[in-house]
Amino acid sequence: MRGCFYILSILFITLSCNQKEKDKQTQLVPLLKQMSDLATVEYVITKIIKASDDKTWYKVGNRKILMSCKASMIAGIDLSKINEENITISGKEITMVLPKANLLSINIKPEDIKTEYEDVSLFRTAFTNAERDALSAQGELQIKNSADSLGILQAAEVNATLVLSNFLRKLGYETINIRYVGDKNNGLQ
Amino acid sequence: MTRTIKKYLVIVAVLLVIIFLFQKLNWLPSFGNFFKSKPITIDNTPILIKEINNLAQLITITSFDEVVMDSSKKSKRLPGTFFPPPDAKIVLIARGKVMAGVDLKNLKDQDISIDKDSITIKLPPAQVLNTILNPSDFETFSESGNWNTEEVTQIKIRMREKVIQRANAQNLLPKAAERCKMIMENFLRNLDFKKVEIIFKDQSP
Repeated sequence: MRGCFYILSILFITLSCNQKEKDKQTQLVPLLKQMSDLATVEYVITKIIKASDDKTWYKVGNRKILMSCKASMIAGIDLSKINEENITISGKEITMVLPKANLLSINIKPEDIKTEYEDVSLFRTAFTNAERDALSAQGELQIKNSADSLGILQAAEVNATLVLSNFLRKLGYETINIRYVGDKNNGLQ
Repeated sequence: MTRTIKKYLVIVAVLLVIIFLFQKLNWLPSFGNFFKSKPITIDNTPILIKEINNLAQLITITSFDEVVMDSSKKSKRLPGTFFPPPDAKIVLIARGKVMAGVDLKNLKDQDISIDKDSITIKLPPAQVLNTILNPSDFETFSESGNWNTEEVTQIKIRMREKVIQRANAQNLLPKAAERCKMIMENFLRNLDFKKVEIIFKDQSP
């Protein structure tokens, strides 16, 4: 009886472990998310990332690094926010109210980040990969925060108007009015 | 004599209590922070626009994935040393995303045919539009020895290929095409088309 109990216990523990392993495997599968974004503009930009590591008082000597990076910023509109209420059709005339453009992605390819200059004094160690990545990540954040000042969102809206107008013209509409949520003017085409 | 020592001990004890209380109230800088390395911050440099490209890409699906890759290399022996140094090793973790959809720029006039309230559109095949592995998406789990930018870049490129490969293994493109078909159908039905047919040129969803 006791032997039977031990065997059952071992079997239970083994099965539990197998289940955990299965759970682990399912977590490793890429997650797919459905989108409805219309990307209408891409800005290719460049930026210099420069830093000097001389702020810690007890570290003797300085470390300087200068990196250059190229990034691609893509902006557009979310088509899932358009519904029947945003579209008015009257014969060959159509009026659409589109959602405001937003930044869809920033892409800095690893090969587009280059270390142009590195100066490490005698008593200091060279920049590690983790440190270089942390500096590049700061550059990425600065690029992300600059989206508004670069005017990419306005350009995305202008291009979205153009893309949709061309498409609607192909569908046979002659008068196309496209405006954006919150716009005061009618944005007539 | 004993009285003086006692007096000094009381003063020291009172000072220690005051320091303890001040530390608890955060009125004194902590010793930990005093010996902590200051973070390295980058300067605020201008951003230059090199190109502006007009796009018409319908992004319908994004795959989010996490991959791990390690690499090792022989370290160079320093002059005058007998034993070779240990191998340089690096382990990176990357969280990447692959965006797939249809490039509507390739849509021609002849790809659209309308007959009263029926419409047929021949769309270009779904494709991977963008693969993103930004610097903030990487984590260096372990690093020993010297690794220069070029060597690490090669590892990161291999990680990007792995992210794309794993996304494709999940049928990313057929799913992107299926989703694109649904979005276009909904959009065209909102435009009062009763019968909508979406066909993909080279690949059916």
